[in-house]
Amino acid sequence: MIPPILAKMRPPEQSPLALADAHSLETVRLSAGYGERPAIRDVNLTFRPGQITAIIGPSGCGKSTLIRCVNRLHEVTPSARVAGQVLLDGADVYAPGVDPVLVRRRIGMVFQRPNPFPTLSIFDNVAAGLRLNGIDPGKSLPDLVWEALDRVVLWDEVKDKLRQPGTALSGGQQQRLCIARALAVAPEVLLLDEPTAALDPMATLKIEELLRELKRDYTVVIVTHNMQQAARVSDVTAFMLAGLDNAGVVVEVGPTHQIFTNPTDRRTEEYITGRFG
Amino acid sequence: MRTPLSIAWHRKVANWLLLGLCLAALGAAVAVLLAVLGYVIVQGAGGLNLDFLTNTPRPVGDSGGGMANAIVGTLILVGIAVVVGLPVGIGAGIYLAEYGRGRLATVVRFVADVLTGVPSITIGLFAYALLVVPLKSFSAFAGGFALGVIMLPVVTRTTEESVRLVPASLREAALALGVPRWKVIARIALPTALSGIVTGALLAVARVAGETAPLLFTAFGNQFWSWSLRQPIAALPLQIFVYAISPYDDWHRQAWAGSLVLVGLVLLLSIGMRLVVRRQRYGG
Repeated sequence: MIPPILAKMRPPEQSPLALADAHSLETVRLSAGYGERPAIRDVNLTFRPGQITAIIGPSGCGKSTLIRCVNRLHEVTPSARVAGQVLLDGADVYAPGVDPVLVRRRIGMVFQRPNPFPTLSIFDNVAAGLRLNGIDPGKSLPDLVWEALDRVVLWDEVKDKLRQPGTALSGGQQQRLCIARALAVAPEVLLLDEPTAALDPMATLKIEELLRELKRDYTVVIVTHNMQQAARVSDVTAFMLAGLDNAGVVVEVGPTHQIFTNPTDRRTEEYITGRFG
Repeated sequence: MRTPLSIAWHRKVANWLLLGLCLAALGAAVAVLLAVLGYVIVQGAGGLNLDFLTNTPRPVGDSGGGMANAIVGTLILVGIAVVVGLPVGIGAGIYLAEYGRGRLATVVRFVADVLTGVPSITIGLFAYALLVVPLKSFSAFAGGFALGVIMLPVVTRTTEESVRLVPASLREAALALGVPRWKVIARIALPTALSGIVTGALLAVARVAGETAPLLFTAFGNQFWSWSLRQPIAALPLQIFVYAISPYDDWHRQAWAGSLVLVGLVLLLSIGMRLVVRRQRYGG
């Protein structure tokens, strides 16, 4: 029997980028850690399509571990362990027989530091996911690369130097290139792990504008240290905090304006008013 | 009392002093290199001519003759060494860098380090016992095999270091695109580490190209042309050795010329490989 998650893989002949229906994502009692050390415990969160969900919290509260569990990247780390479920459109990505490689194709990720492949040109960076996976995009590769670069509002800046290495761009441009690279394989969910932490304010602004555009087509989850950023871009905010045993738990989750104006939990209020963290 | 000004002056002096020491050390290192190169060029250029590059050795008393067979022999020996040493060395290095945890990796690493320190003549003996004795003949293959074994640990460790230096963020970026692990290694990690791997391979080749001891009882040397891998074959270092300890001035000149050719070969190889690697980057 084909596991549900495989059956839901999109047929390749459809144009990936044109697909606009985003998908729901849910964690159920998700716990993870490294060896004996716990990192998150019993995280129950729902990420809705068409919304940006921000995960905030002090350093070491398990924000990054959480989203790395969602696309099964956590298990790449030696000694990593995971328990619980991550439901993508209702199907558990940790169900037996599910190939993590296929999960990661459906759930794109952008990292804290821009990490374009240094041996590849700008063009090849965007095309990397399709080429390395041998996916037939159903249309010409240049069209697809154009589409992805246009999507992240980078095309005009790089159209004359597509053959130059991706690392020749500025930090902000590199990060948009990385987002384009993630979008080119047509994910349904986009995870961003502090995507602007290494960028200057102008580049940050551009990325935030971009995220507001992208949320119409993707389920977007963003981990951020920057509370203003969460307040600016997200629709829903989850606040995480590490307990005494260092396992991060979700303290409070709700509409962003409510979390920032009228939090119900005292610890949330203390954090967003800057009393710790 | 130390005023801020005197502290500034003190720092400036210390700065100049250390800079001076660094420059002196640099100068000494470069000077030795230049002296060796210069001496080889000055001494070798006299004996270098078309005859030397195209002819086989002549008997004592006959003037002229050259080391063409030894030049080709060295190329063949290094070629065999590369075929023997590179694939295994690079493979082992990738294994150590990508999967190298646990007991097996520790053992492999330790063995590679010990092998690096084994005198090359011992490795020659090993090749002698393994290939020359059973086949009852000195051979090019035995010589190349010995050189390949000498290359092995160097290539293994430099490959491991280079692949390990590829940032985890690049691997994760590729994995997050849904690229399978082996493809991440083959298409992202290896190309990124390529220049380091090539440098390691070149160092190893440069080292074995000049090895003499392990060839003494494997390749053995040959005064005539030989293209067979199963026959004794001439090699530049062997020929240089034989000519240098001879009592004839003409042979001494040829030994110097041979040294110059050997240095030139290694240099050409390095430059050539670097050009190839540079062209491959950002290509396609």
